[in-house]
Amino acid sequence: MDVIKHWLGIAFLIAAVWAFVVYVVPLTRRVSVPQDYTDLEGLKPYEGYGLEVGVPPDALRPGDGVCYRLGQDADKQACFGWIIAKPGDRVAIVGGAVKVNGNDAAVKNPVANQPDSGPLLVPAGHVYVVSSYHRLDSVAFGPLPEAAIRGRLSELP
Amino acid sequence: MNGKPGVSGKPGVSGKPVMNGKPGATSKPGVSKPSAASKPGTLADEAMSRLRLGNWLSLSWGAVQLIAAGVLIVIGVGFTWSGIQRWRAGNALDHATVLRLGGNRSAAQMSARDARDLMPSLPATVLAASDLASAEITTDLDLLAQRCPVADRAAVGAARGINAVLLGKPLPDGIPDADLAWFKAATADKPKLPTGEDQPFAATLTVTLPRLLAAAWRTGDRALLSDSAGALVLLQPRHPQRNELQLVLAALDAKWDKAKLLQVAKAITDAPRREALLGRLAAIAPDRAEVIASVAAAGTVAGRLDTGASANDPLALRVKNAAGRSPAERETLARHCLERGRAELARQLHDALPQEFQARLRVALLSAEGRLIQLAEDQKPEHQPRVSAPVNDLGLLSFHLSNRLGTIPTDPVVVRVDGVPVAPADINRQGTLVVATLPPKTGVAPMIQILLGTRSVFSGEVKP
Repeated sequence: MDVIKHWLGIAFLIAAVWAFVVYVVPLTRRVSVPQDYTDLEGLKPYEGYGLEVGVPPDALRPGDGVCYRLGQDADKQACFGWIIAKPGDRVAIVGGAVKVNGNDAAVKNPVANQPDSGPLLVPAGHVYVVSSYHRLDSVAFGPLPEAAIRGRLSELP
Repeated sequence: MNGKPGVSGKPGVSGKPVMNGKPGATSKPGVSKPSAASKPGTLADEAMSRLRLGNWLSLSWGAVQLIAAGVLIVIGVGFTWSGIQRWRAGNALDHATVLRLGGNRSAAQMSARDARDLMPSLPATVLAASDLASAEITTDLDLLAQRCPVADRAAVGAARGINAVLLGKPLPDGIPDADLAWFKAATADKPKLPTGEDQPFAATLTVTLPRLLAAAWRTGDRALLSDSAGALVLLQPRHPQRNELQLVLAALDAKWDKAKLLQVAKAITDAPRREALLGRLAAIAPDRAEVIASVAAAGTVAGRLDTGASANDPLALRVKNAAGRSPAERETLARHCLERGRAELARQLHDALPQEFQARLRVALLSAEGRLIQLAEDQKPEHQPRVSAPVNDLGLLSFHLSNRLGTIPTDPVVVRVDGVPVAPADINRQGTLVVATLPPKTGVAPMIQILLGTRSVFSGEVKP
């Protein structure tokens, strides 16, 4: 009986640690907006936003706000934008407007000084992400590989 | 205890055999007939032997447990170490991806090689660190395809397809359908952009789109030229030849008037190159020929379309006034110039920097200037020049010449056909693409030798 009690105690402890890591730790994950970041309207410098890390690529959907990195430089470690296209979608720029599968994407500002381009079939393992001014997004850097996505923003301004 | 043996009645105290509680009762042979059970020491021996048996079992079981525990510890340590290595390799691969995205290809290659060293059995690390344009990797890829897990088969298949396309070999089996459609399109006589919904790998698009673009450029297929250039601009907005791609798209876009087209043309500072591009575009799009010709004429009158004058060029002004700055500041400014595509300004700053700072800028500057020969001097694999399989078609010999970092070479290229050099005027270069007009009396399978400066980068027969 004592042995069963002993092992039940250990099992309970393991379950508690697992639940803490899976459910509690992600709630504490937040990402701060860098001081000079201005590519997404509404974000406040130094403000922290909830970040869901470890989201499986298949769970990312068009319309999700994401935080991503675009290189090793400090100013490219935390960039923000919305996913507008997933692998298999066709992205094009027509008349300065970003179109996905022929439909207008919900992009605030047009792409300036860009002749009609595309369509591009978004490759496997990539997502097309746009921000407000297209300086640090897929329009400027191309479709982002999943490795560049730091996590999904659980709240947006 | 009186000190006399057997008096206490406690067996064995006297050290003599004890029977029936009477010490010494059997000590005198012949007094009573001894039974088998009462032989001296028999019971004790049996008890001891049982005790020894018990000990032996305990020892054996203990040894088995120890061995099992040892094996489990070894397995556990191995498992843990493998997990750590796998995690580090995954991190290094992610790091390489992000570095490549940021444009730091050299560091990305190093990180990919680190990942392969950590986990050489993982297909993802092997593919990331491999040079798919190399003929030496073909056998490794074939072996990898045989032993890779099911989840990685598509990636390995696509890599084999890329290797075959880059080397001009027949496509192997096992390529995913989505990628196969692109490879077939890129190698077809009459190429056409695939329309399927299945998504190919990004590497497949990176390899096939420039080939489709080159085919469209050669054949004058306007629709294919527009589609492939547009897709390439969206896939790689920071492509080394983005200015040329933008010019192609702007020239073919009916909504772009002369003023806007001129603006795009300004970005190409090499006047002969710009004029050659505009001339070809005018031939491909006759309805836009007038606008394109007016832009070309404006370029001829103005000489260089971009003014380059310091007064109108804040970056040149900053370089001019940088003399009093510290070496670190000048190095930062030089890197900024390189990012803005102003290698000539970066060169000015570089030449005035101390030796140690010059060494740090060397690779970036030589890459920007396209000095492949000087870059290759450090013997690093990623800096060595490499050439794609030459294509002999319609009396033209075309091939791409670059290195693993995608540097566009500016060093002189010599093409020898059956030992006779092609005249420099018959060699046209567009970025990494080199097109040489073959002499009229060239045989069916001429012996081609390609030299970068004095270094031979290709030698062999090239059939049409």
